[in-house]
Amino acid sequence: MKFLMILLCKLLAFAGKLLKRGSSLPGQIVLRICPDILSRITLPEYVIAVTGSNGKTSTVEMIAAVLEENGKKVVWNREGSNQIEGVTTLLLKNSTLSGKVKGDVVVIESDERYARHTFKYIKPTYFAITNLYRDQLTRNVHPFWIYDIIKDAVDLIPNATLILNADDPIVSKFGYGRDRVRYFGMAKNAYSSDNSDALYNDCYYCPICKEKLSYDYFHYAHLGSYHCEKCGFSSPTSEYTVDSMDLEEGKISICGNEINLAFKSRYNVYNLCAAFAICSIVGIPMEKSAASLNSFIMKNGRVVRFKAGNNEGLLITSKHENSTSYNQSLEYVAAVKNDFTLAIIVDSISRKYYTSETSWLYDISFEKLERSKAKRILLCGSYAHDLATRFEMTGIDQSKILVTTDLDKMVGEMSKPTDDELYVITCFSDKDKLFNRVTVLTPIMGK
Amino acid sequence: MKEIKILHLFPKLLSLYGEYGNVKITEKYLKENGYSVSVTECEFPEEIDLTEFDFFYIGSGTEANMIEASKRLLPKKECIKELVENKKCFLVTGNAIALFGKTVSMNGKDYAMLSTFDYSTGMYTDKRFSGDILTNDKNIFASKLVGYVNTSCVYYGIEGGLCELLLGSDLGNDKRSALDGFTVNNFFATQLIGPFAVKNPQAMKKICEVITGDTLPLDMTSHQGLAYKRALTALEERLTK
Repeated sequence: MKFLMILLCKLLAFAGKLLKRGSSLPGQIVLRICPDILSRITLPEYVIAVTGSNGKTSTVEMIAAVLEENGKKVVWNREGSNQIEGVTTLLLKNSTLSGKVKGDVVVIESDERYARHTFKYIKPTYFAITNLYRDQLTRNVHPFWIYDIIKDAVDLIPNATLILNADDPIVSKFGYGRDRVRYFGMAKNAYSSDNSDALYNDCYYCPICKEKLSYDYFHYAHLGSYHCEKCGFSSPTSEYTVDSMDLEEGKISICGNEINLAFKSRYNVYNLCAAFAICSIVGIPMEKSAASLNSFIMKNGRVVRFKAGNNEGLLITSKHENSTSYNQSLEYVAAVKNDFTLAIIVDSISRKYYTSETSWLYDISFEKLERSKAKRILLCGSYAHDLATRFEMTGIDQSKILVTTDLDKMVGEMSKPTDDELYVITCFSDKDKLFNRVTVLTPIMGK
Repeated sequence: MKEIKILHLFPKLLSLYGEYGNVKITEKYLKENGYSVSVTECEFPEEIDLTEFDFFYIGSGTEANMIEASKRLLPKKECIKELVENKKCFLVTGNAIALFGKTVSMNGKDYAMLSTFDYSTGMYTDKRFSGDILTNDKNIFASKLVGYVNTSCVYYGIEGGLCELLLGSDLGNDKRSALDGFTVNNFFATQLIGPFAVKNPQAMKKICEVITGDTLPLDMTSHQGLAYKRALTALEERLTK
């Protein structure tokens, strides 16, 4: 049976490749015939699963790149299919016909809601949880709801080592009272502050006892150094730490190892640190991990240069329905030292489903732009008026704002001769609508 | 100039879906119409005199935080009942409805709520009811309401409803009927989450008229009005498909 299923999966995967079909279909078919196929295969010593609200794909990509560069054979889902069907395709496709996975390390990007299903059949030896933010409330509800779902997955793998973000109190709660835990985090730096940059704090109250959680400082959102006066819950000491960060220079240091950032922003630093930690645990010397991560350019197309008319612009892709992702993009733009035009596009909230739900716009700190060098702000796409209503609640000079549902008009505005810099913030679901109207140039962190 | 005092209860404890937008839009609209407005944010109601306020807003929270909120509100149980009877204006969105019933049952345990009204709540920790919402216009706001429900609550014993759901008709209070929320005196409760009053300008207008006792204008060509029309058009299209 096992032999037949592996053969079937390989054939389906081959046919799917020829027909350019999705990578999860072979796994889906095999699971229908043999639901426990994953528990029948032989895995290597290191099976690493990565989950979290933001940065799963980036973290997995970096781990795989570092390990491969350092001589490990890595089996990983480079297509990013992170539900059980995708994982099944990945593992069977990379198995011998007798069911032995052909690799030193398996790295799985695990959907936060599906890990509890996947882990019934495949037991990771290491489970990394990068962060838990408000993300796609239409399906993910709220971070503590997701915490409970991931907790079910964690309970299925008592022998696994958890690799947790020490600075995220929701994530570090997974390690509360558990033995096999390793932490990564970020030391206080020039960008830390007394107050969160977010409009809300999901950990204003202690996740253990509900007393007010005290923060010594914030990095962003609810991440920082925290402690509870009542129950003693506090930031664990991180073993793998970003001990310095200089965004002007675009440099960070993890455990004393300097790494240049491909994009001078904080938004990938925790992912870098998670990847660094995991690779160190797998046995890669720290200096070698740092060298591999140096100026690492990801293939997921997050930051891309383009040209509208004669004006060169920078697209910073964010996630709709995810205020932390937006806040980090806004932080980058708000720190720009020259006058700039910013276009924000919300045309389709998701590629996968339609929703009229726009509550997430009220979780984004658009107020970050109040004291910025923004000379013009273009609010664009079919949700332009929703954006404009939200912007009316900020202290931003409304005369700077142009509202249009017409994306051609938006590009026309962006193409007008100007000395100002040009930025666009939008989601993967709307990115191509921009690319179809401008000239795409050399990527900074993208294809 | 008449001063309107708004109390936003639990802006940190119960703040899941940009609920503060309801307070912001109410404040903005009232100011645009010539009122002086003050907003007080309160996490511990025992410390303040609730009778000072003209309008009370409470939004959605996590299941655990909702139980915590009920503990903090219980000392004010009688006062809140009197405020409702005296026709003070309340807007309660999302699962905050649970606070004003008799009990919440969760994980086999019953938690005492304010008993302002005679219904009870089943709060699931493993089940969710969610979807886009469009109502008809046979409601106190004389307007089709748009929005989103995302809840783990089933309400038992709510009589009537604030509105009737056309889209998401299985997401009503008891998750069988199409009736959402309820209204008693000037207490408006809806399961719709987030900035309900932003998304529904006519509801915002009506609530502000109740607060002030005045008739107020509404510009539906504003960004808020146009955003409403976009949502309405999209949801009506979906309904007919």
